[in-house]
Amino acid sequence: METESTYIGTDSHSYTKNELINSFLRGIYLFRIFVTDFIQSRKSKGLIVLGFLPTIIVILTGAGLDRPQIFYMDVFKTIYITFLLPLFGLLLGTAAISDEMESHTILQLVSRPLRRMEIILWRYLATLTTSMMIAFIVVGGFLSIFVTFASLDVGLLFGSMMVSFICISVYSSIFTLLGLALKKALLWGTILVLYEQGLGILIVFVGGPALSLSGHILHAGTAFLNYFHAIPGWTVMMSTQLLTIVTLASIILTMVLFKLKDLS
Amino acid sequence: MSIIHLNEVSKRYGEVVALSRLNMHVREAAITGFVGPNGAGKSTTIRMITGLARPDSGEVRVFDANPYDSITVHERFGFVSEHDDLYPWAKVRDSIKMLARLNVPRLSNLDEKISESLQAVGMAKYADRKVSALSKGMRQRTRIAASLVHSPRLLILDEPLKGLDPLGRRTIMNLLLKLNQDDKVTILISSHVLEELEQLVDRITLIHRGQTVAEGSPEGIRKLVFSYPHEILFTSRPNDMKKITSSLMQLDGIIRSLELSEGKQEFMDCRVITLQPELFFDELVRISVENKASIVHVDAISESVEKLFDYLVG
Repeated sequence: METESTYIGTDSHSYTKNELINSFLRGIYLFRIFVTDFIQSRKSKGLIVLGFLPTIIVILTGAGLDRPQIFYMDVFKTIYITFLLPLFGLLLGTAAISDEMESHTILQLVSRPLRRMEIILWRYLATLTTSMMIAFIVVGGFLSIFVTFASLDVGLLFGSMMVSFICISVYSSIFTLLGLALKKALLWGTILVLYEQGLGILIVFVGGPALSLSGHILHAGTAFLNYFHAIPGWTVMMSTQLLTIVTLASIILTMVLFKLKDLS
Repeated sequence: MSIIHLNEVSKRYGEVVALSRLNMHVREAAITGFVGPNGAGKSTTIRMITGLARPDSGEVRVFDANPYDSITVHERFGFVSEHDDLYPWAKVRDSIKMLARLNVPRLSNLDEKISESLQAVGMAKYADRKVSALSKGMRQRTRIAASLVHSPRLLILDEPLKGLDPLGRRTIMNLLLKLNQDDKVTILISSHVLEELEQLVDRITLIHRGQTVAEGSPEGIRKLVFSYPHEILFTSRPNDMKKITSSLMQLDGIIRSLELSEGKQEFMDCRVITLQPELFFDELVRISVENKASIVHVDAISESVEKLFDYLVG
């Protein structure tokens, strides 16, 4: 392979410019494989159908069309942010690496010139992208009903997508980690989602709303959408920082675990 | 010069010892057969070599480097695992292309190389068929094609002939020979059937219970395997049996033991243990013809590969 003379980095860890470009291109091709794999899977199609349920209910019943702003925000917060999007993260995230292992396709990837941390990084980005695509379709579909029949501002889509992005980033990273670290990841993931929905509410009564992950997501989301959600003693920036730390820590832990994992 | 070098490599999975101080060398530009019964540790060894797993102790070197998570090592080999590891939703050509791009992201004549690889494994006419619609043998051939596109210096193939029909086997064996002879590609190929590799390889490593049992040329290994006591049973009428056995007893060094027993109806069975089965069969036919004694049934009692390897381990 031809080597260019430009070196980047310290002496002990130097990469040629050529190697960096190749590494990036490999990542892009890997990302494409992962996204196509998601699109081809029945799981993604099932999630889209599930995500459309609120839209179908509104179409059939006409619910909320008389008070579109409040109804849309309530459904977006309680159904999408605290239930459906975490569920997407749960189902796509837990399966991100474990599905590759079960189908043995991981052997094709790990035996090629890719660092294991790159595989995790691109897989996470693919999970995030696919979940965002599904979120765009289902949330956009839901909003379009209110835009068409109740003159709701279409600009809400941007804010909704930003809050969805925060939600999906956090949950996908956590569930990708669980999918690699635990044998019954789906079970533990379900417990985590149920914690947010049930037990979390109880703990919130005891320890305060700062213990709810979806509470922090909703809190950080107030920077993009006009609704009220507060956590006493926490600013929006603090919630955002916490969510960033949780996300990055989960991704780094997944990389370390995968780096150490024997694929036997 | 060795391209693959395993030194005292051990690996355990809980209580199960997969490899126990295994030593192995694969010479550059040679075809090395890696033979052992199921569960002997072949795939575990191959996963160490391909950097999919790490040894508990000992050293694995490929191209003089540790292959675990190493880009420089992974760039230089092609690997066909024992598993059906292709994405089922892709078409054959696309499947090879997307995997090849992970090796050579900027190869300008990639399509041409893919066509050559497909042609070489006899899959050119199925290039637009979905992987999920292929037979097991076709998928195997596709995986072999996918391991070749980036022109690797080393090919590591874990049971690549499994699931192939005789024609497919011949195609792949000819291809491997050609790659080795024309392009000097080093090949490590595993199988649990020794005979399958005899015509193909320069050297054979026998493995059993995670240990190297023997290493050498196919002729040397064949000699070693044939030193294993073979059990042969033949059936004849009592008068004929008497003539045959008395002649057999006079043969020097061919028969280790001979045991007569009542057979079905009016026949008698003779169970022979020999270290030279081919010579024994020649002599049996000669004696039978010379004495005009008929043999109604001959059977080489097949021993399991496990028993053979147990014998070799001692």
